[in-house]
Amino acid sequence: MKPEKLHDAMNFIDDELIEAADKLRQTPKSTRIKTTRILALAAAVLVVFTGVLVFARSISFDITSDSAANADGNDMPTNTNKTNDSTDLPDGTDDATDGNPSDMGASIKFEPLAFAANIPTPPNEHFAFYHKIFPTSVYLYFYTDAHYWPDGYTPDKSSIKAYTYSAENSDNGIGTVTLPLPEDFDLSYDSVTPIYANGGGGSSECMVVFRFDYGLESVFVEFNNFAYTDNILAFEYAGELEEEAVKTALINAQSKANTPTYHEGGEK
Amino acid sequence: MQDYEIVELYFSRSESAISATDEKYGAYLTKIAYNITSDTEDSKEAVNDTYLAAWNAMPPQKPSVLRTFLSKITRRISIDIVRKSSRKKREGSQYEITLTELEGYIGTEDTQNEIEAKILGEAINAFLRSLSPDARNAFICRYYFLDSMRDTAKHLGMTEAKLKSLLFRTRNSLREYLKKEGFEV
Repeated sequence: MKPEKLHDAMNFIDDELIEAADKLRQTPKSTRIKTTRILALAAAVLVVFTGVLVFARSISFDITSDSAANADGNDMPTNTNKTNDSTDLPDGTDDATDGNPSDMGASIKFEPLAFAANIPTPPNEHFAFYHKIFPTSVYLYFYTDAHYWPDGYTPDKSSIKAYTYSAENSDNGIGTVTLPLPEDFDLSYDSVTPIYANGGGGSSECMVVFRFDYGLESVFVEFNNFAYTDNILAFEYAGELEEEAVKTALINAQSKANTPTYHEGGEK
Repeated sequence: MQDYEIVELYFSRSESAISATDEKYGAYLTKIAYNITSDTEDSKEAVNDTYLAAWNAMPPQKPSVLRTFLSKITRRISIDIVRKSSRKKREGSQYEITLTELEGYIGTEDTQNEIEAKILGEAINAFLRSLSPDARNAFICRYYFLDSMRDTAKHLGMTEAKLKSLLFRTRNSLREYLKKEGFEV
């Protein structure tokens, strides 16, 4: 049967049936679609809203956990060098050496700082990083046993030691790095240049070296497992480091550290 | 003007019957014609022919629903226009020439075709009555008024995807129904 025949036959459909369909054509049921769409939209908004709430709650939970750890009396480790201007440190932060180095990995509190740095939990008890970019200083804790210098670079260790880090406990290798920043220090990418980065599988193989060119002298600091979090300068366990990420992190950090003042760090 | 008044004008052979029809149903019929021909000029021609056909049909016919009565005429005329146009495109082909030559000997089968169409129409009527209102209206909107999928979906308040699915199932059911009724499908 040809479709034409069906078309011809359709001309013999009862008037009553045609009328019913025709009425529908004059007054379409568009409201049904609108209602469905509105319901679908409302459901989508609800799902997104719920997602945002859950996310917000999880963030809130993390912060609360960190705060709780703080309340347990785990002091924030900072440098204890007497030359440091401790008034520049935020309230509630103690010198690093006040803490028990052997507990460092477990007891360091990775709470958001003034710059909202989000520090994750260290991967193991022997590994601890901490940083602050206060208006005056950067503090780092790292696993000193793992550090080494890039090939071909012979640092002036005495100078570096004076300005960079010291091992606080040779047993567990936790050390403190203090990067003294001058008053006019401008923490921009130009002044902080990664010159050596070697991603690797183990925690001791991932290394980054920065040259902080802030006018006084170049200081080479060797980090182990340096990374960033949420585009804010932060340090955490990481196997790889992307230069662009560091750039972004440092630029963001710069915008946070408005007018840094010189704060001489020192070894313990 | 009420339909019965227009019909009375036809019966009294008043020429204002045409203008009254055009005023009330001109746009409606043009839409049906355009759905079929997809051509403005052809649609106008179909609608004008509809008025002429209505003039010739009334009397003796006295439609109870003028709107549907006219729509059927427009539909039939529009389909004829499309067929003629399609045939015109083939003019000059040997196939068409031989068809014309043969037609002269065996005559046209218009009467037979109309009877067949009527029988088939009755079967379709029965089939449509067995359907759900949505399926029935979808089928009529799409295959009687030849509304686009989009328009039909809008009329029925459903998505195009749902409409396509509904029509697919209805066509399949129709095929099975016609087979069962002894039609060659």
